[in-house]
Amino acid sequence: MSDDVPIEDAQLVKAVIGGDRDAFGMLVERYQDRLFNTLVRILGSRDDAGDVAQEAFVQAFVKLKTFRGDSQFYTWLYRIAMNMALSHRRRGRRRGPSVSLEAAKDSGGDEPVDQNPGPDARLMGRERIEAVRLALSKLGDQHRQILVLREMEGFSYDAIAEILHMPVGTVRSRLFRARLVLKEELKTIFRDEVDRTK
Amino acid sequence: MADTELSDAFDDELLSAYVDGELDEAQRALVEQRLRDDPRARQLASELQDLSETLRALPREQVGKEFREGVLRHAEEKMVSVASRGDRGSLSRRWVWAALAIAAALILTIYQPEVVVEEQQLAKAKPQAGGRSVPELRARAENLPEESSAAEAAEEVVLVHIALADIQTGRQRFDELLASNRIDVESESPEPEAPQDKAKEVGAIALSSPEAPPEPEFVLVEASAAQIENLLMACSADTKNLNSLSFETQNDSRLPVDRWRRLERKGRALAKTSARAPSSFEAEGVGSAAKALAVTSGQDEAKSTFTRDESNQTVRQEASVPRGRATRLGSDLNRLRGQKKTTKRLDALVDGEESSVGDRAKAQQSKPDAQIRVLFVLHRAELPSDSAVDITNKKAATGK
Repeated sequence: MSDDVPIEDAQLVKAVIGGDRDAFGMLVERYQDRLFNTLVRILGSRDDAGDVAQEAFVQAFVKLKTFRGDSQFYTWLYRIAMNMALSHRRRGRRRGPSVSLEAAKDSGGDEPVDQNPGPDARLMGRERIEAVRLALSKLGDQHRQILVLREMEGFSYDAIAEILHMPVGTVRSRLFRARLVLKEELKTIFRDEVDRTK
Repeated sequence: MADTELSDAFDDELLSAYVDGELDEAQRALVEQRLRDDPRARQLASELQDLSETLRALPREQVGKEFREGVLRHAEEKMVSVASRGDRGSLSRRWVWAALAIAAALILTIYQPEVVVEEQQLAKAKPQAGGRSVPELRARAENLPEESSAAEAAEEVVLVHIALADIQTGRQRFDELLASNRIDVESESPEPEAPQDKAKEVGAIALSSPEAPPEPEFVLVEASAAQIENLLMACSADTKNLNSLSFETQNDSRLPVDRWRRLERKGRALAKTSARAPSSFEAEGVGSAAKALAVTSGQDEAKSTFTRDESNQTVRQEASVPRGRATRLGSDLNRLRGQKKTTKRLDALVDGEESSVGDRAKAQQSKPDAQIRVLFVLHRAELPSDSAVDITNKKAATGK
């Protein structure tokens, strides 16, 4: 986030509350890709991520008057979206055997589309990308969530603390635990891969 | 040996925060000194850095062109809908409150073992050291994430109390067991913060006085019954870090917890005959307890996923519950009226002194892969010696 974004956000929020539809459209445009990317990584499905992202924006719009402005708009939006994402996952589990993140990927139906690969992404081998995706899918929801917020979205510990509504110390310890678990998952995946190719 | 000692005294979390550039100057200096002296720390920091770079290199996703218009259309529809029915407020956080209210009622009885509180007194009792008042817990629940609506609430929350030999290492061990059993944490109480962090928290509740024991930590998880059972067995087996374990389920539980129930019924029955003296079920009770908590000897502690088939140990459990706990719990419940859903659930707890044959049959019919929610209350094991709860493992009489 650049330094001037919060000011612009605040102005747009004010305009939306004043009835300016286009101002809300600008807020959506500003954060839609970023939020969508985060949700794809957390939910493992473009369809689900699209639904939750839309739901989050709508909820933000409806509740905008309750936004006090003592935090950044985007952290407030992310907080709504993260809670919705976890609720979405819980509902999915409760509905019974659902398509797992891994199964969704294997089926090809929900295969995330690499629409804008950065230079680093091109350097990553296809197999390694798949391994990382698989390892992420094996994590618990909260571990995956905090890793995505930090590693893929680059949020600071303070921002994550605000989004997930937890103290900074908890962010630090949970992130560390999540990394250890992911590291182990990746090791297992690579070991299995080596065993398969032997 | 020297490396081991160094490692034990160092918090590896600092390495992770160092990689993120989230340390203050003093902490950074500490870590950099550590990196110079400790090859293991260098290795871990390097691995964390690689992991971070790998994740950041994943390709990014973008929404379709129609997304913005779809959001605006739905937002307008939603506003019309809200305006037509009026804003009746949110049902958010209700399930979290319900779960923590259960903990509140139990904490008021369990964490004040030295205070003989009659029902009338308890109704007026103020929080003691290590205990939490219902308003406090409610306030804590209010601070948990929103959007966890009552509609999404599980039908039942199992409450598990675990006493830790040491909060920090015990909690770490507990987290390892959660991870090794692939159990998600849905919500947890904030970890103790440095003063400057605490000051930043909006609406944070004042922590206990320095003399007070560490406050209990709450961890809410959702997992399959089989995962929960494995976790409970793993916890019970780890007598080094996790000193005791007890749990509460509803009388009409649909969960596959028949073995857990046998354990629980024993504890409650003993409460009726013992005021504050220890109660134990070492003799006839050990059979079911052993079956429920049997573990594999010689297993890898760091990655213990337990299966009953491999059991070759028995478990001895001593448990104690203050006299009249159930009736006092009932008294507490009266103070929680107004939360209909909560009260119903808590009433079920009080009524759950005995489980019927039908209940057990129902429990046995439950599907092992059904998702259930468990609220763990983790506290330091420092109950008075005459009311201590302890679980120890010993070799089975088979001599294996």
